[in-house]
Amino acid sequence: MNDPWRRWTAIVAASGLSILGLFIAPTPAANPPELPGLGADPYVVCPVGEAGGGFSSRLGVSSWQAGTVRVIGGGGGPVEVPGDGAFFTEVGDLAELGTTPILVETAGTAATYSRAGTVAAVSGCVPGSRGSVAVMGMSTAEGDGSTMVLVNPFASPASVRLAGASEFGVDTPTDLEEVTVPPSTSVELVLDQSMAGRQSLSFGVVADAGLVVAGMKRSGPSDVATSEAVAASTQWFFALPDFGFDGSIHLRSLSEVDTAYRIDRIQPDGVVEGVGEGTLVAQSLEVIPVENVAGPGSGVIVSAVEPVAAAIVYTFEGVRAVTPGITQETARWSVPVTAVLNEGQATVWILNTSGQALTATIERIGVPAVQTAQLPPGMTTGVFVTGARGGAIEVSANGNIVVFYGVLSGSSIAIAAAVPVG
Amino acid sequence: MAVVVLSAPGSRLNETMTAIARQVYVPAQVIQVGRSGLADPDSPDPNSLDQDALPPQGVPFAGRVSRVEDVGQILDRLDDRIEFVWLIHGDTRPRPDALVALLRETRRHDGSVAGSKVLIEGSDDRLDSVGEATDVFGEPYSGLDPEELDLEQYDVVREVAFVPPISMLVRRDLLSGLGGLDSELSLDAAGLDLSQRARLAGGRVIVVPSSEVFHPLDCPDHQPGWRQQAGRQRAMLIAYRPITLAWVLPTGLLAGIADGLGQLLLGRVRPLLATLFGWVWNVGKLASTVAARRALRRVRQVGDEELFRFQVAGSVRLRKTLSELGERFSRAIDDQEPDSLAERTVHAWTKPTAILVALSSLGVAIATREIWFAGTPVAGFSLPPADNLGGLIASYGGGWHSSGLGSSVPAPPIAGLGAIVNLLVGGRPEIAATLLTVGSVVAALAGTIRLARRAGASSGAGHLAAWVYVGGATSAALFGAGQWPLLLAAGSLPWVLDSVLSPTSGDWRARLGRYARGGLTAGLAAAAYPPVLALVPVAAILWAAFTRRWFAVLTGLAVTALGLGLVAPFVAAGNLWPLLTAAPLPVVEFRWLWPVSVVAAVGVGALWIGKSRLGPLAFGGSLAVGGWLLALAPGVLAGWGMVGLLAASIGGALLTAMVVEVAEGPTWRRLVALASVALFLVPAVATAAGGRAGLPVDRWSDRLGFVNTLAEFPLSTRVLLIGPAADLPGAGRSLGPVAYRLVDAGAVTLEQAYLPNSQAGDVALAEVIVDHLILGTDLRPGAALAEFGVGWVVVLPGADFDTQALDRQIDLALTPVDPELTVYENLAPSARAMTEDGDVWDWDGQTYRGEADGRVRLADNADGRWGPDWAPDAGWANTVSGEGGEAVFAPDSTTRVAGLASGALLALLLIVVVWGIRKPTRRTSAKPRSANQPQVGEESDGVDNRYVDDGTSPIEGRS
Repeated sequence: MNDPWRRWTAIVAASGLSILGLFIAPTPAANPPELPGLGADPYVVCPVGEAGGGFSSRLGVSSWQAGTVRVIGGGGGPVEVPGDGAFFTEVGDLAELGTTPILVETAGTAATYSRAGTVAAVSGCVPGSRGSVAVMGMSTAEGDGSTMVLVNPFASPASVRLAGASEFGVDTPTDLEEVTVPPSTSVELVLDQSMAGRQSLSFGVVADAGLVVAGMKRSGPSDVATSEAVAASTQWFFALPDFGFDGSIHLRSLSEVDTAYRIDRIQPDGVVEGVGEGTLVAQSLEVIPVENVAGPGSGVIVSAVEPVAAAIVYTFEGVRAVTPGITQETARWSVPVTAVLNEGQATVWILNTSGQALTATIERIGVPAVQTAQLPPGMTTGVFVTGARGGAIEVSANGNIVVFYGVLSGSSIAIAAAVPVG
Repeated sequence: MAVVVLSAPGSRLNETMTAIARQVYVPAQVIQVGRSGLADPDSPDPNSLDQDALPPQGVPFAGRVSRVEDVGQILDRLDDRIEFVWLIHGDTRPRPDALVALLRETRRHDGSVAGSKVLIEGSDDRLDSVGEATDVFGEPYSGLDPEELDLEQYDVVREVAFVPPISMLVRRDLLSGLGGLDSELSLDAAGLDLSQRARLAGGRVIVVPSSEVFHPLDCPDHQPGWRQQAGRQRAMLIAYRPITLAWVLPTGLLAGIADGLGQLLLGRVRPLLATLFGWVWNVGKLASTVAARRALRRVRQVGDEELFRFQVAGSVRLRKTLSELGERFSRAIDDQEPDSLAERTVHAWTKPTAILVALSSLGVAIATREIWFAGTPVAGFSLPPADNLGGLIASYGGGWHSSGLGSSVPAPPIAGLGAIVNLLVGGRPEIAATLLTVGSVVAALAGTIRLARRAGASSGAGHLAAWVYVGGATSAALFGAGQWPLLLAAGSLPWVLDSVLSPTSGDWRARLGRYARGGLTAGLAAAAYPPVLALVPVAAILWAAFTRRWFAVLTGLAVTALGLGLVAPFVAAGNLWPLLTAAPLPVVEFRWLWPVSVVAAVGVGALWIGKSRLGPLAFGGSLAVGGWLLALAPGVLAGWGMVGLLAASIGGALLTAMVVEVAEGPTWRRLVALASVALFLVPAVATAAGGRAGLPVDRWSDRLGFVNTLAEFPLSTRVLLIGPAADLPGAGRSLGPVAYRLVDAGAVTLEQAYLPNSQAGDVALAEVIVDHLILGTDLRPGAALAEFGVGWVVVLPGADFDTQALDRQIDLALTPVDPELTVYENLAPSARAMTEDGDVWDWDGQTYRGEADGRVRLADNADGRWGPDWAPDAGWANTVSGEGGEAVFAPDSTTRVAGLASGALLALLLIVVVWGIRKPTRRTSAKPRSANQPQVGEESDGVDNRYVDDGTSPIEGRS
């Protein structure tokens, strides 16, 4: 090969290969396999358990998985949950006095039932939520007092923003706008002084760092109400037991925009839509008396364009009860704890939303005792659970139902939402 | 006037006496000193002089000659009428008017001590001394250039620091007052001592150039040696006041040792020994030194400042040695440098090479400035060695490779390399890392310059090429991604290629030495990053193809084989996978720039450079394009891609060197050539400007130090790092988009850079991470991680990792110790080694130690070599008996034997390298080449004279 050939060969080869290189796209990194997302919460927290001689709680756990129960921020060692379906223990056995948040490490349902004499309150146990939740049904009007409980059961500190709402509109004291909850502790915010005079009070809770579980305790002249915080939803079901008086539906906006809502009544001949309608202002609280939209023994469905939090608050003379709504209808329900008072029997209230007559089965877990009850369509049926002593029960039916549970006495109502199963 | 002849060894005394007899000024008395260190007791009697050489009147001082045994007796023998004493060395030949000139000028200038101009006997008026200065340590400094001729340029009477007693006129009263010459001292030192004492006594020491004497250069009394050194030290001890001695003594000692060490680097042992012997000798002579100081004190008129006036700054010896080292370095990278010391010294600072070396040194200083101040950045695979020999044992000794959950497979050899360097620097890991980094940069530059010269480029072109190699786009991508092992390999690679590319000339000894050097450098490259070795045979084949020097293929294979031998344990394990997949392929910024640069350079070069350089141009172009394509090729493992980038770097460097040579021709052609060079060079400038040798910003220095502070058992704790793969120190494992790795608590070291192949424990750890840190199946991920000895979890910023599970757990406490890192402390009891009773055992890099009676669980991948009484645990871990208080890993004998073989081969190669070094033949003259003599890289009669061998002239070196 003579000299010019060599030179031009070098140029052509280098150019060709370089152009080839320019056209070779860099080897794309193989798409890594997707990782699974966060699994189901393997725990629940009971924010408003009580320990002590006067007003004490019983913790009920319904779980088929072994686990532990322990007091957050102190108390004795953990108590084993055997995982045989129903377990209950007295919170007083775990701690000595006062508000005692409890961490239940198992994939089941749990609730606390607190009582003193003829006064009772029941509230569910829930996992922490990354989104906004609302603590509903508080009041600091004369004769009432309310305390909000923020619980951080985890090892990392949590920081939350609070947004209050009352009949005065958006209503947040400056010192409550941001609250830090150290790891494995709880913070009780007594609102009686700082927010005195609110007839209806609700707080939105948003965690900026970490997670918290919120709850509230409300004391009336002769009764106590407790409730866990409620996450927002666009649909809420409420059974309306015939207590002899009506409660009121509390709707709380957790969004930054106004939202329209509608209330439908469930009655034996079907659902009557739009018995109540309105617009819920952003971050505000609206109170709708039940008597305006439905009567005792029926049920209501609250729908909203943007997710809202909803609860029914019962106030009659000295009686106080706060019951978060239920976001879905289904055929099987878990009642983690049965509440029993000397003057009252454990009760489940079942709203038949299926539009046809149903038969419900009430089974005390771990005990060979099964009750049945007929459920007329569109009606809320109260069923006494016979022989209940605190353990969990399961309610199932041959159609969609909505279940609340609790206890009635002459001077107290305790009512909470059951937990859907499956 | 009396003449004192200081007899010298040899037979020149007759000539000296004859020359004295021919003096215009006739001395009144002649004393011959016949014994002592200055004289030869067997010197002949003056009456037996050569009668033909004498003046017609015969010996004018006949009958006035006497002999003394010792210089100390001179004063006793002098007649009372003697006014001046002329001390003359016994092998000196003074011109007939030397004495009269001395006397005349001494009287005229009121001198006390006067010396003659000393010319070298047998030369054509080459100067030896015209009076001398010293440094503060007494080291003489003549100020003359080597080979400097006497053109009367110094012919003026002036004061000097001292004159040697080769020809020294002293006032008799002063000589008496000072007690004469110090009989303990050698010739030059005695002159220095007498001159200094004379000056301190208020006398003037002058040189009289009109008085000329000839003195042989090979006079035994004039040669450097420990006696001269000791004498100068004694002169210093006698002359200086205590306050001066207080700083001169220690600094003199340090300067002497530093100079001696520098001379050691030059292959000379004697200077260091002379310094040490000198001090020892002076300790022995302390009593007489003290006596001499007392004697001087009685006559001292002035302070030490008078001596300082005639001294030069700094240490003359040290400066000379450093200069010689610099010259030697220039020769190392440019074997066309002159051989002769005189020639080098004369031309050192007038040659382009010296200027280029100075500029490149400045470039190195700039490009590594942050490393000098802050150490080598700890990021990516740029990690300091551990302060123990664990790395060496893990890579060459068959020991446990404790990276991640550990493995019995040998660690990559870089772990051993780091451990050895750390040992050599006395257990300073940061210094070891810095030494390796800076050393590699310098070696890469020097090697590339040498390689470019080998390929026929000029020195300047070589320097530009070197910077393209070290800082060009492809190298910048590699080093910027923290591929420190590739930087170390880059330091050796040009030297390996130089060995392969060099022609086969020279005798067998030189050839063997060259192969050994090639094997040694190949071993170094392989120790840094073994896959790099694959480049050597490929480059050899390309070189052979383009230059038709087929022997290069054999050389390449031989050198590769030797290099593989130096990493025998790693080769025996045959486990390249973890290296090749340890990190993603670095991204070359401005991807289009490299092919454009290559095409421009090849185009410019192919069109305009000389025929003889086409081969190297094609060689460089092939490497530049081939390496780049290899890096881009789909499916190629990242490690091979990185080797491709390194090949592209060296190819680009050679292209640069060739293109720079297109400097001859029209201006527009030069401009085009320079523009194509600039394309290569711009990224290199950016790399150098970074100041970290292209390495990324430090991420991990002391970053995990909080573990040592906060952990209860830091020596038995691991840290789980989760973050982007590129930000993790060393290699990581991946779970989908999440990368993670385990590191030892508190420090990420070189031994942990590469993770071994995944084993049962690694699989179990991955499952725990998925279940407990991602799915969040329970609230206690800390307890699950504690099984692996994980005491801390650190999530790096930018990690594609959902921390929801970490937000809802109860045994990993968020700990605010670093604003950039999300750090969780494991609240569950965790340790790498724990007894059944919960007692923790410490890990020292190779062994677990603690106290226990029962069994100890070791959270390392299960391996039956752990003991004593090993048993598996949980399907992946180990338990051993704790009764001995120690859990040890029995070394793998195959790996250990391979390691010993590598060590033996290393020793053998070192010996052969030293044995194969041929001292360069000194040229007899420093004359420049004639104009018609072909220069390196030029074409002559259509035959190129490039690719020259060491120790041969450019012309002889053709094969």
